[in-house]
Amino acid sequence: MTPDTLMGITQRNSRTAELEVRAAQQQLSELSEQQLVLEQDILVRLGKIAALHLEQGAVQDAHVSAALQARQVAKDQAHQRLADAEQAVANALAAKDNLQARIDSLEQQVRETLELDPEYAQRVQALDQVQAAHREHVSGYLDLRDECAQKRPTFDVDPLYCYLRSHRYGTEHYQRNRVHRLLDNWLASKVNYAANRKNELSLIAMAQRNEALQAEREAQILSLGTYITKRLKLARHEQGLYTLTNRLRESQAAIDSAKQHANTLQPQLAAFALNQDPQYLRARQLLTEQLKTRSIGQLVDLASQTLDEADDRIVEQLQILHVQLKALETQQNALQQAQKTMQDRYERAKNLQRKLRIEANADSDVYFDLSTDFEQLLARYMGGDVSLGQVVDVLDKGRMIVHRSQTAARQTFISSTTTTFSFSTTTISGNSSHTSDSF
Amino acid sequence: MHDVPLSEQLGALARVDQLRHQQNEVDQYLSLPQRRAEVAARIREYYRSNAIEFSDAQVDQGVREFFASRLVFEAPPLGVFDRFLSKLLLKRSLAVRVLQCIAVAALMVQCARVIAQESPARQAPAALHSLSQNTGSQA
Repeated sequence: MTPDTLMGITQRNSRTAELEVRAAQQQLSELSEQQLVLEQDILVRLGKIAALHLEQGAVQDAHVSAALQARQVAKDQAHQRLADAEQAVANALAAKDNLQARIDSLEQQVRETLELDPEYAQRVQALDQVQAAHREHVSGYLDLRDECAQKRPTFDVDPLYCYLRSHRYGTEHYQRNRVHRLLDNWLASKVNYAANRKNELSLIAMAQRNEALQAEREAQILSLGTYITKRLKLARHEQGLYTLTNRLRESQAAIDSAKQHANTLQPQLAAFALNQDPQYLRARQLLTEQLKTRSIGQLVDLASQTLDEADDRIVEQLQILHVQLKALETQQNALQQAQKTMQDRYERAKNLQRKLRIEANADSDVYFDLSTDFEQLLARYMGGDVSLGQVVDVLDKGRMIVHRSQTAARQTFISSTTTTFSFSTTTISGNSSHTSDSF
Repeated sequence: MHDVPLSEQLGALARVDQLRHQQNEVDQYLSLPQRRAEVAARIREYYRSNAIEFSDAQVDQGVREFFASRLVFEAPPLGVFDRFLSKLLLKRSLAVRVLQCIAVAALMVQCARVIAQESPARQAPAALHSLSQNTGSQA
């Protein structure tokens, strides 16, 4: 799995978590507004019951209504501004996608043209083979290096063995007299010298060959990579791909700028979602002043005790409205809990994304050979079953540094030959969210 | 083309064969990941065909441990006498040096003794000779 793919998955995950949070906030805001309207409605009806003598009822009601209307207008305007900003982001993303598609198509053409050259095709094939052989699970380079490093010192411990070895026993350089030879033969039989020396020499030869093969593979990859990169650069230059790449960079800057603008609008909407906007606070204050002595429930109870028959109808309606208000409050509490959970999930998703941005540097020659399904791991992480450290550990274990000879090879990391398969992350995040993916 | 002596040809061939053999052996040691995978696959196949229950982790662990025991230093434990004798043999050059020193010292002592014994015997005729010369001149 390439860092691009990994980042694509985590970005998509963050975006999903963010949308969930925003949906919950929106729902909570609507519920709060409904609650406010319902409270006001109840107070208006209570004001009609003369026996209750509510303080400045009509004037306060008018002020509350005005505050709620002003809130609605301000909210609509903020939504409109955000929608415009998101549209700008979507347009910038679409422009970038078009440009990317053009670049991909040209890139494909470049490679197809290049592969008509037998020398180039042969080197690309050779590079694929060397890269495949260079993978740790095929070459076992580190494994073998560790084995040699661990076992070599054990041959320097036994004094009898070291003595015989220092006299080059068993080689053509061993030139001691008969008496010594006889005594050394006896010593050699005691330490199983022949077999142990053979093992030691095999270890030495293995370590040398392992290093030599690794160096050879690296040199080959470097040499083939340099050749292929050079040819690709030239061909890209001829096709004008670098101009398009610069435009793509500008396009990305435009997207970032549009996203930033959208991000600045977010706090305004968040104030509405969290009921922190001045209009809501004013309406709430007015209602609180009206209810400073008694709660709505107590007022409804008092209203039901009046003797006036005309008030009875109002009281019936009030009781229904009061039940609705209670239900709304319960719903609101549940939603607040849910929103808190979603906020935590979003924080987790963003933490992972930030961590991976550092860990999986997309520009370097990193490849993740993961033993577990990353999407499943991500789901467990989001569910809280797995910690961020454990995810990073899994990635660290699967991390491999492999020289990616050509930028074009990002489309298929294993094979750099011509293919139509692509897993570019721009497509994933871009299509899934035409608004912005990191608000 | 000159005639190549058969002995040279055979000698070189033996050396080349030796190198080839060594190379093959090292290559075999180097193909550790593949060999481990092959052995593990065979074991799994065997268990499956005999309907024996097993877990992949057990097979992997067993194969890994088996290959970990290759190319290690292995010497049988020595008995008390063998240990003593081997220690002595390890210091045999020192013992030889001591023996040499003793021999040289003995030789020197012997030489000194011989010289000491011989010097009065040499001195007696000389004294007699000088004595006779003295008496001759006086006469």
